[in-house]
Amino acid sequence: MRTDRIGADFAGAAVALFFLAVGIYAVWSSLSMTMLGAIFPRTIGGFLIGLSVIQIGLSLAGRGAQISGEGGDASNEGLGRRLALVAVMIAWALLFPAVGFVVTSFVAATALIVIAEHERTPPTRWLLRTAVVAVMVGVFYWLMTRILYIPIPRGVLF
Amino acid sequence: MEIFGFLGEALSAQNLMFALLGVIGGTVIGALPGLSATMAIAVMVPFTFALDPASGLIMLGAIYTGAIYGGAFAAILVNTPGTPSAIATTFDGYPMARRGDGDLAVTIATIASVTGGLVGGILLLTLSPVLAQVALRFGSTEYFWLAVLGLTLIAVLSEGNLVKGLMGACLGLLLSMVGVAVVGGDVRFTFGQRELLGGVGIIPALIGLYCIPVLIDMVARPGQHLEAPAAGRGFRLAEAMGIAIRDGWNLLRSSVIGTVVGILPGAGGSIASLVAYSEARRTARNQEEYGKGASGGLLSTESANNATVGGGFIPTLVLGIPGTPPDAVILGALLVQGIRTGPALFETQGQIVYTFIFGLLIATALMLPVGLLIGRYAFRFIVATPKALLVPLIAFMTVLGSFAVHNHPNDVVVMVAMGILGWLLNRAGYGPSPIVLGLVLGQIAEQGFVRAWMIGGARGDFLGQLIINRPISWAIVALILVTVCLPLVKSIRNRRAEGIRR
Repeated sequence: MRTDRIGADFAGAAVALFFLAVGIYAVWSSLSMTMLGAIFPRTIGGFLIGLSVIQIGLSLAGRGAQISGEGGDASNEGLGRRLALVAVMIAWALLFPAVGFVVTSFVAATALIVIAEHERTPPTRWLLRTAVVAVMVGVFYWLMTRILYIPIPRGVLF
Repeated sequence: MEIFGFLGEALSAQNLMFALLGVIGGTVIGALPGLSATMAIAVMVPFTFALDPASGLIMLGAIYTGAIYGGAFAAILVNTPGTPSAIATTFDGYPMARRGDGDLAVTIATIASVTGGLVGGILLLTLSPVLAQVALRFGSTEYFWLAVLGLTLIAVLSEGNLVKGLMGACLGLLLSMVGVAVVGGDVRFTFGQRELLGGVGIIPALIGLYCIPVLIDMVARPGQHLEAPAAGRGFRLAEAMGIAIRDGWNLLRSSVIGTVVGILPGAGGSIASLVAYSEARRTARNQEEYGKGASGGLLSTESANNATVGGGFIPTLVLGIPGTPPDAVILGALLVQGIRTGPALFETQGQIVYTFIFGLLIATALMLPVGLLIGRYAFRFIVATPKALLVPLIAFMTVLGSFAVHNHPNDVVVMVAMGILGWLLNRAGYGPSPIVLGLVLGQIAEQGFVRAWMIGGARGDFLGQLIINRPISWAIVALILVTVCLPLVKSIRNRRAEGIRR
């Protein structure tokens, strides 16, 4: 294992603390399960507790804090846009069964156009993009309901 | 000579048209995250009743193989496996696309998928009865060890921080236990939520963990999502063919692994591609490039997952045991057509079965032109579309795809929750792949182990049941040990060599 010393990694330690809590919860929950159901949660929970303790130590000692090579972006650039996207996705997921899939999807996708746009854009382009989103939602609604026979929630607004 | 008659029948204009339509439809459906081959086949089954049985089956087989291949597009271009079989395709496909080689990645994936599909189809045609016996020799213990072999890939994916990789895998394994336990019936980790009784859906979790972090990063900066390709590069077919020929042994080995894993009911394309990837990486000279855009990784995963199509038909046709959900739907279509599967099928219904297998091979070959064309335009579309349109389009597909899996809004909530969790963990250095591996392999590992424990307990010989009396388990355990230990031995040797040089 390659572990370079790069200064204390408090974020890594905090996440490891979260994992530690998950491991403790898994072991604690397994105490009320049958033997068959408890073997794996207890074993994996135990492993997770041990690994989390090691990782907390490594993080605080400034070792093993490398970012994985899976392309994640750990910078805070554009944090406002990132958080706005997260908020839109949460609202989309929670509201579409009640409000209706088509309306929620159109509003959420239009909001995402605004969030993802970084340049000053002429109104005609806004209109064009909104129209593209409307067509996309309409086509997929038709495809799901008429071709694939997947019932889409209509909610109070469609 | 009769066999050439079946080949001629498979090459009839009508069957060629059904094969082509099936491949196009399957590829497009597979490319859209959440829309599965099972869904497409199930929708098409009623239409095939009006067709000649062989033609109907060719169309269903073509949709199946096209959908497994189509999963590579989303994996390469937006880091989202279109199907669980394409999980390992993201490891090298997306890094290739990010560095401007998306067109090459798509062409390599196409060649690999066609090769894997052809190898699986040829083995289905020639060795079905023999290979079907392999499926019968795999018990719960062997499934457990197979899942452990898949999990060893974590060591590869977590290079530089093994502890974080193992922690991610443990989280994935715990997530796979949410809901009602298959063995024992305990209700686990549901926090009293009825919606979680069915567990955390693999596809919504996959979409969330891989796609939402990409979306979150996409909106943060201006500019294009992927590097634009240099003009006039075409399909880069010659370049991709050269890579495939140079790495021919990897391609062939991965195709055979895919076929053999495909034979095992319940294992499927995700395990096949993970095992093939692990083997490709273990034996590669450029191991350090794997996970960063190595063509060998892409060749192994895509050939293995398409080889499972032919492999999966072996137990379906010879034993009547469907290996995967699409196989089960096709088995249902066979039964409705009055075709009784079993060891005598190739003699009693030879005309239909051989025409179908030849049709499947033709459909697989058709994936080359179809895939290259669709892939080229998909890549150009992703490169040319401004982020302000691409982000809502991808986000819409994530919501729609997650919902379509079980027609349940809860899956969309799971997808978004997993996506946010994946993004936060990614920022702290925990990649999504170990979590996904744990989630995908967790149930197979647990069920295999607990069943072996029960059977061993009843016989009073748990170790015998787990390994001592199981020759196939020995072989898999040996492979696990080699996979885990060989990199360590190499690393120690390299350090010693460096020490001597100094």
